[in-house]
Amino acid sequence: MFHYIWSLINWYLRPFIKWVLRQTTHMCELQRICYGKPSGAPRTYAVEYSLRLSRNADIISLISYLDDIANQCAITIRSERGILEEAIRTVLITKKINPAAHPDFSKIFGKCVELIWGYRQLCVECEELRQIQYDSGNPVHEDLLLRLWDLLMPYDPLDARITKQWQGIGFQGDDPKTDFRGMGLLGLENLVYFAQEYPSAATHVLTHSMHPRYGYAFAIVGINLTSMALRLLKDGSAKTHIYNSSKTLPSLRAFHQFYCYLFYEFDGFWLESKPNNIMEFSSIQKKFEINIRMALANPSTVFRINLSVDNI
Amino acid sequence: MGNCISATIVACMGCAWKQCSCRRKVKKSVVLLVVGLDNAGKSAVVNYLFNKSFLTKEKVVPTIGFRTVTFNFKSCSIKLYDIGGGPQIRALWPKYYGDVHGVIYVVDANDHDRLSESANIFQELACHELIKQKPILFLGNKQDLHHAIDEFDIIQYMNISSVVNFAKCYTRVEICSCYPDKHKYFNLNKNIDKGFGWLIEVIKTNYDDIEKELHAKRSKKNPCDSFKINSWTAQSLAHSFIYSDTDSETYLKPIIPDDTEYKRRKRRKRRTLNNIFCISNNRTGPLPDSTIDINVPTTKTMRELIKSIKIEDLINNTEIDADAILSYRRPRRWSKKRPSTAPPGIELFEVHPVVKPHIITSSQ
Repeated sequence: MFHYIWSLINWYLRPFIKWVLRQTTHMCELQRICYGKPSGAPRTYAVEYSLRLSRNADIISLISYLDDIANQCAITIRSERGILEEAIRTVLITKKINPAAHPDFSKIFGKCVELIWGYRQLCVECEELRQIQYDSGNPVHEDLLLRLWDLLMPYDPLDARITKQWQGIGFQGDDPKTDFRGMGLLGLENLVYFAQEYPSAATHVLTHSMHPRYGYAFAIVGINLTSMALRLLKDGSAKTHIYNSSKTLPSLRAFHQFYCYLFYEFDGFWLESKPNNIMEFSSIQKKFEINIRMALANPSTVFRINLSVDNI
Repeated sequence: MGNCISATIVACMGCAWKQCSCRRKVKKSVVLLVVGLDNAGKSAVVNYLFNKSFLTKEKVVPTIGFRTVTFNFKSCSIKLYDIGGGPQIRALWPKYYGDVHGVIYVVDANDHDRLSESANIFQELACHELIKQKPILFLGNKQDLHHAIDEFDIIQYMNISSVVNFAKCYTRVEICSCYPDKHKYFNLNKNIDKGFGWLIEVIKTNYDDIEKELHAKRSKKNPCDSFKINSWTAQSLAHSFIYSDTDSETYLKPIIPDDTEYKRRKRRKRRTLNNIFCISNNRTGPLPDSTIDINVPTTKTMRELIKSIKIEDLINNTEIDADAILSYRRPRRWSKKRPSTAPPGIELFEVHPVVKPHIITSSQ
């Protein structure tokens, strides 16, 4: 009820407040945001909020156009420039901003647009990758799986494709293909990225996972964390991190790095909470997720893997 | 006078309140364990039972540790322990056996290579001291897949009837699928509901006995000592055959594990039952007492019995002819023509290569 009244007040009062501010500052809301807010997540959040609430027909059509493009994953490095120019031009014309008088605005605003719709596209990309089931008949998938083994266990070659050895890195059966299930190729790519880009961190985590008392199954924990990372991405909680960390268009790499951070931190969290056995996994994971969500609620959060521990 | 009236009103309200609270107490809390090998589809089954959601929407990941799901079902509050099936976690299953009223065992009917592994684990589970004589719902999952075997093959290959008869567990075998029904006449999702309804019904009717036993086992340090004649199944079975079939209202139906007799019996049955109705599901239950002598199943005798069973025999029995399975395709269900518990592979199945939907009547 309260929510309803508040949105009603907002609906009528907002244009009035905006009009007053526009008259006094001679700047539109987007300009005020771009100049006033610190760069990164706070600014991008505010621009996104402002654009989504806009009642101008041109802006609405621009947003639906950008949404369409992002849903089709059509924002690439090549097409990006044209798309951004069009968005900036539309806003400059509808808001009657003189680009000569405000040279910074188009640069800052373009950056925000890039981040907002890049994030949207990232969600779509991840979802598409998730829906690709691991297929043991596909040589690309097989290669990726074998590479994961080579990266994690460089001194211990596989005896066969289907072997008990897979349980050593935390798969459940003799054949890892069934463990990817709901996360599909995304889970595998996440693991490979982690092992490839942060080899020291990955081996560090892997040795922890073999701890006699606090051990856990490395690979399936990784797949569970993929699911958690995807959940955070899709409900928009991960925006803070992606907006703050991305210098250019957010790509799958950004998601992989987010995942690596989560995995590395989870390992520390798990050891710190000293579980009695693996049965406490779900409660600990829930606690971990709450912690991460709390951290992400702070708009200045940016996650970076702290590798200093590795040298010990 | 006024005081009097108010006093009676208060008394009446008190009574009503008591009744209310009594009624509230009637709500039984039932704890169930969902187990099976990894990738059997336990979490999918739990998701289906919990919110009737199918796999396409859910993103299932391998369960690590366990997950608790609570919901209400037919005046019972159900608590499901969805436990991971990975080899490391299997060692921890027995910790939960003491708390549960019943078990749902899920097997991947499409994964032929691991059926014998699953059979061993099922045997271990059913013969465990804390599980013995609790009802088990056995689900042959993934029937939507091409090479899935049906309930008769599952019973045969996994040697369920002898294990169940030995452990005296009420068991019902259902085949199911957690994917939405494309072909209405298969109606496999309903089988989960049906089986679950049966499980709850059995637990509800024997609730007090199970509870008593659970408490006894919890209070005693050594759970083996409480394994005495006071177990509810031993009593109820002493003067009855096993039950079975909640659909057809034929409750007393012995299951004869001996194969030849089994076939003969079922054939006879088919002639009589075929025209009246058909039971698409198969249940097995413990044998009558004359077959297995367990007048006083004390710990000692039980141990001897367990020793006397050769595990090799069970394993050998579960061996599967791989070629036969690969060449075997699940026949279409012609519900009217299917006998109640026919052994697989005999001429009772009529395989129709071309399915004409208008002939098929829905199995339920």
